[in-house]
Amino acid sequence: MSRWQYFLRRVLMSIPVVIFGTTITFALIRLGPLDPVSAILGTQYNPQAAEQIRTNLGLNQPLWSQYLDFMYRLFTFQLGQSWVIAPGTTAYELIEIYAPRTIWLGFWSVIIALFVGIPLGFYAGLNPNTPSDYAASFGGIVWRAMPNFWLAIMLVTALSQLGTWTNGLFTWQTWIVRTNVVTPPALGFFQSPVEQFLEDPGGWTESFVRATKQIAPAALVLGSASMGNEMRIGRTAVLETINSNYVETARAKGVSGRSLVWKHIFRNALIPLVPIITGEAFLLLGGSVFVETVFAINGLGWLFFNAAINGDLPLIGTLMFIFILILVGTNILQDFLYTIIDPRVGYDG
Amino acid sequence: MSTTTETEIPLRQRVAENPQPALIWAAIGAVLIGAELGAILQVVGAVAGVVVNLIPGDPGASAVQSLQAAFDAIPTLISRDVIPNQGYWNGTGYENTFLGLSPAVAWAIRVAVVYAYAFAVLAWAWNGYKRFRRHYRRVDWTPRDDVVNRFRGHSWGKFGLIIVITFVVMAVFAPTLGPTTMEQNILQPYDYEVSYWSEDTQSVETVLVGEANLGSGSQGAGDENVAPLTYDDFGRFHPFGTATNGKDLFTQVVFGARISLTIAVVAMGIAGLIGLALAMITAYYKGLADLATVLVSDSIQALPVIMVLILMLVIFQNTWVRELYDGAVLIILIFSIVYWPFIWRSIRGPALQVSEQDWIDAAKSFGQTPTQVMRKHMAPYVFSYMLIYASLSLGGIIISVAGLSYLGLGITAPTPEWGRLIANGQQYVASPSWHISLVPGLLITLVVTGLNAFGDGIRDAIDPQADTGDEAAATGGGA
Amino acid sequence: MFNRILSGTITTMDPVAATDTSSGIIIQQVFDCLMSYPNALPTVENELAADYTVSDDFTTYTFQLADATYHNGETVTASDFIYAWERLAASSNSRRAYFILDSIGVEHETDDEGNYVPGSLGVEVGETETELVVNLSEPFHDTLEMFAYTSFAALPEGVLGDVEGYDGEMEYTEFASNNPIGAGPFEFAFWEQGTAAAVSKYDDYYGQVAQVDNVRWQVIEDDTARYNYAMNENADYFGLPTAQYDPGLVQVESTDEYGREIGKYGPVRNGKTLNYVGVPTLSIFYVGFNMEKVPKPVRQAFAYVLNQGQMVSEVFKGRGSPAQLFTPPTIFPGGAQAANDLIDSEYPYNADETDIQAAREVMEEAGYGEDNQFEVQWTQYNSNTWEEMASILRDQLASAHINMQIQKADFSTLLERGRNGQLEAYTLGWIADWPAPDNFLQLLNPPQTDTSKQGPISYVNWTAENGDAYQQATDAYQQVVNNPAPTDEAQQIRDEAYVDIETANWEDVAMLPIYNRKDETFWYDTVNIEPFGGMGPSRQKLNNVTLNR
Repeated sequence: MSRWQYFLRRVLMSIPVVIFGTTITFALIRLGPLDPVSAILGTQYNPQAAEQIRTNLGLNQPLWSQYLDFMYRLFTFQLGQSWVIAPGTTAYELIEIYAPRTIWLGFWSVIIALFVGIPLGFYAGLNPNTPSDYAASFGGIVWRAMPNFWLAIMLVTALSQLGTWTNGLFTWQTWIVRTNVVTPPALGFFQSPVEQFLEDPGGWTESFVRATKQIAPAALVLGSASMGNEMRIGRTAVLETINSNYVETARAKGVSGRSLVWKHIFRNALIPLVPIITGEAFLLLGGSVFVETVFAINGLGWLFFNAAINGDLPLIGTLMFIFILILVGTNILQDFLYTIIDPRVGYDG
Repeated sequence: MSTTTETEIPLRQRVAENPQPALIWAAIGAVLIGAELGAILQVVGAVAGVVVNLIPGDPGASAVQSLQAAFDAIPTLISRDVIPNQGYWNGTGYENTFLGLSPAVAWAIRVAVVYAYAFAVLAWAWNGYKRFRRHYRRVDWTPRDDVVNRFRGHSWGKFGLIIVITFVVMAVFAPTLGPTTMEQNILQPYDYEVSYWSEDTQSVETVLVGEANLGSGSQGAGDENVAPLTYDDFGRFHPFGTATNGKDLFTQVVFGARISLTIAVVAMGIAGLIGLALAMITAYYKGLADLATVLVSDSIQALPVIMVLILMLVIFQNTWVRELYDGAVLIILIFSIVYWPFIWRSIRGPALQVSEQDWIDAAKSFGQTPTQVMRKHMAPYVFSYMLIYASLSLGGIIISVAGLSYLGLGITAPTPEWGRLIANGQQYVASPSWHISLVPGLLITLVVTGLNAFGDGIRDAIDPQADTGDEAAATGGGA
Repeated sequence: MFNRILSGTITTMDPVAATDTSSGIIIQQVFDCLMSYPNALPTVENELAADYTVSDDFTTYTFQLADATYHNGETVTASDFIYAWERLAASSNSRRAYFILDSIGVEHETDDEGNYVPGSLGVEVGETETELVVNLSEPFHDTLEMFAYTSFAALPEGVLGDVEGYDGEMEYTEFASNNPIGAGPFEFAFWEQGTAAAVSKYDDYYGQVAQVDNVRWQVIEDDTARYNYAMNENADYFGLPTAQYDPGLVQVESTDEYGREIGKYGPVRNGKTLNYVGVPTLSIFYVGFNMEKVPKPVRQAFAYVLNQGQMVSEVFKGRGSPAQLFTPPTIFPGGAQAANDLIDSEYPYNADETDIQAAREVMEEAGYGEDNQFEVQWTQYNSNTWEEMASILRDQLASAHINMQIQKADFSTLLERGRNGQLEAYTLGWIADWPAPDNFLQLLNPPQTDTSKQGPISYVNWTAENGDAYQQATDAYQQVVNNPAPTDEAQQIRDEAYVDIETANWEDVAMLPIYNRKDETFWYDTVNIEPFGGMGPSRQKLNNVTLNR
């Protein structure tokens, strides 16, 4: 089987996975004891209104027909609307509001994790068994073991208190640009960024810096688990590559130290990092619930949590479906990257 | 992997031929166990109590209670009665404490004795293994020796092991370690009284524990704080300070360790059993069984784990399952359902490999049933792979449980839980009452680091060529 | 810009659909009603009504409207009110139809099933187009107070098509989330879901034109995040979460005739000293018992162990006053003094004392004991403070042969379980719709607590089988219903009935009052704002606020 056939098989395989995953979601929200009508009506419950809503929402239909309807709508991207937390607002609108923050947060947590974790790991790998290696490795492991929500609480407190602790010498809020420690960043500068930038480069840059600074602490926390993983993998990969035959050969052939590191070691060490980086999607989605809550960022994780605790069933279903698409998409991306860069992958199953 | 070669002369006979090392070992063991016989039986009683509690209607609850009472009456070396710390100052000296020492010192001695005992037992068990190897084992070498030796040379793994042991001892000896008991301080505080020296009246007064708790909460502001390693107004010593409601934080932390450990181990155990059983079936029958399992497990894995946990906890929030063991049973079930695909994935490869081996065909041709083949010839081979994965994932479960409790969805009061402690103390982090959130958070970090280190050690010991790819599976602060 | 914080998400800008405080706060600024509570003090004044007259039988109210315009420039007319109230009564978006149909009882027709017949409201245009005539089916003593509720706000006729006879000038979601049009002192500026909302001053306002250009609310649900936001001076005016509140920092400088405590608070974390006002609001927080599932001895045991004073000081840090009566003392017949006298002379349990001994005795008399504990499930809203209170009660009851399990539920689940009669012990609060005891005591009208019927108001299932004082409470509430007129004579009868309901509740412990909340707000010197009154800070209009920066 050629690699591309293998890749195609993986993609085809993901279709039943998405269907099955969505079915599980349907089963959870519709077969469980949650009653959407009560959630909608809240305090103003009366049986006629309840019956009316039941009919309007098609809850009187037989379950299989509700199921087909649910699946059909999701797979044709008719995402429906929220019933409880923002009645009448469509899921599209909600996602449009909440998703950019989570994407911005996710983007920076990947970037911070990559740009801190991998260099540290490579550094540790190139200087194995030295005190700095131990310090970096141990630090990475402990950093990875901290619960996100707890780290976030500590960081928020620390940043808010810096001014008091340093006697006003350094306050996080006023550093570089004025921002809040908590609350979501303003991401308006992303709407037609090119024109805005051309119009007012200074202002645009300031908004960009402000939004970045505001998301940085949360991204640091959210990326903590991945950062630790990336560091360890980076270190192991470098160590393995250094000790492998072809590097020995290259060294014997007199390839200079620097070019050896860049050309041979790094490229090969990057391969095992692929699943770690794509695997971050899982960590980010899950962790976003906690980090967004503590930092009051109000993104998708927060929206999901609120939808869940308020019993907003259609919104839960839609968000789950989107999360599944993202995760399955990331898996396909991972396979695709493998297909391109790693000739060693086995294609037999 | 083969143990059959050793059965030619029964172990008993080998011991009889050279009884001295075994006798010495057994004598030390008898002393060690004898000192704690009561406690061991108490644990049995407690387990029975939990089991009875789980069965709706609590049949036989009273029988278990009387059994527990009988076990409680057996004196033990490391008990609160032998080294009591809950005494009070009577104006000139301490009463009812160990040797008249201050409650803090008496408590510290008891903790030291508990850990000394625990490590003595472990040393004894290890010594037993060494004696067995030296004096009684038929063969000089088995593959398992290499595993053990590799682990002994793995200092990072040993560091993890020590932390894990410390944690497990904390969970097992929770009732003894606390400066006060769960019953007195947390469950029935209005049934007990505490005596204390009142500065106002210059005499010993008594007050209900519940009332004393209300007067010693740590609520950040002003004088409402009982910091770690201090006494409250009622002469009670608090190694980790008090929680917001005035209950002893250390007691809650050690019992929290108990529930975290229980959930993590039981959930991983159930998920492991499901994963192992499915791995056997799919490796044995392959084809459609394998495809179906791939589909189901891929679908479950495609769901964001934390989101599914939140959703399921919300959905089952008001059902009877939720009430069992203050929610722990529900959490265990949910984690088992969500985690088995990961385990199955991690052992599917080895299971397929072993199913291709000649000896499997041989076993089949000898007419062994599929179950026998799976159990006797396939399972032992993949078991070690499962062990690696499970030990690396335990920390993740501990973090997730704490995270869910932090969101208010996990374990409910009065059962103490680390995540809930963090949530309760969250608002006080920047105040004098910082200890409420900080201590459980640090402990989670320490325990998870220890579990990961231990897992690394086990992996390197069992499978030195382990594929680094499964690092992704290792625990992260995902919650 | 005046910066404030909201602790809950905003759900809608439609006055008839909003039921949450956050939405209400903004709707209060954008929409005007006939009447209003000035600075939320519990006495109504004219707002869009310039003048009004009442017929002798108290069933016809005639209002002359002020010369006001909407934010889109149109004039406010009587037909706008007819339209707006028709929406309140008939729109599928309305969550408060019972206000106009039942509470006030504006004349209307119903079909065979008891549903409102659209277009049948007894509201009409008077002699001029700014004269509004309202006909009630029978007198109601707090009609004017009800008209101050934002659900009754004026909106331009025909702006929405969700009632018969109107096509609607805009889409419903457009109005409810992007472009609400009212006649209030502030125009809607923007609202970003779950993030923030803002209003800006309306220059052509018929009353006092706002002194601040904009008011902005940041939505932050997490207590700590909210506290940090306030301490970083991102908000001018805010509340403090109980955890960060230190009663020792309050310096009350004066207490006025409304019981409002005005003074300073601080220094806080950032070194500043804040302005402070603490106001006892018309509210009651209570434990309700499903009397079918929780027998009387258990309820009495709860009453014996519950020490309201201790709960208020330990759990709520003194931010409220302990309550033994279901009616807040300020509106209790005869006032706070009469309320205290009644408690001193007739409260059958121990006010402000945890009497575990008595609780144990009452349980043991009923046959409970160490080996025969009563299992009761406690359901509460998801809140740390309430959980703390619940766990104190749990501990105390554990020594009185009661095994209490604490469950948390979100609001909708809690209410749904209540309606289905699935709750055992539960906690909820009630905040005044109108400032009179019947607004509170309707929750203790036994027939309306029956969860097997449709739409119970509370979920205690009070019947003659499970409560000795059932008849007393039922009769007393009937007296209230039979004497609804705003006359002294009817008032007298009602007042006596109120006391009867309270003592009946003491006898049977259907609901165990815990405390009346004290609302407190804090602000930096950057703003000048009048202290709010007992109807709560959400009822305060902000057109008199000025900024000093």
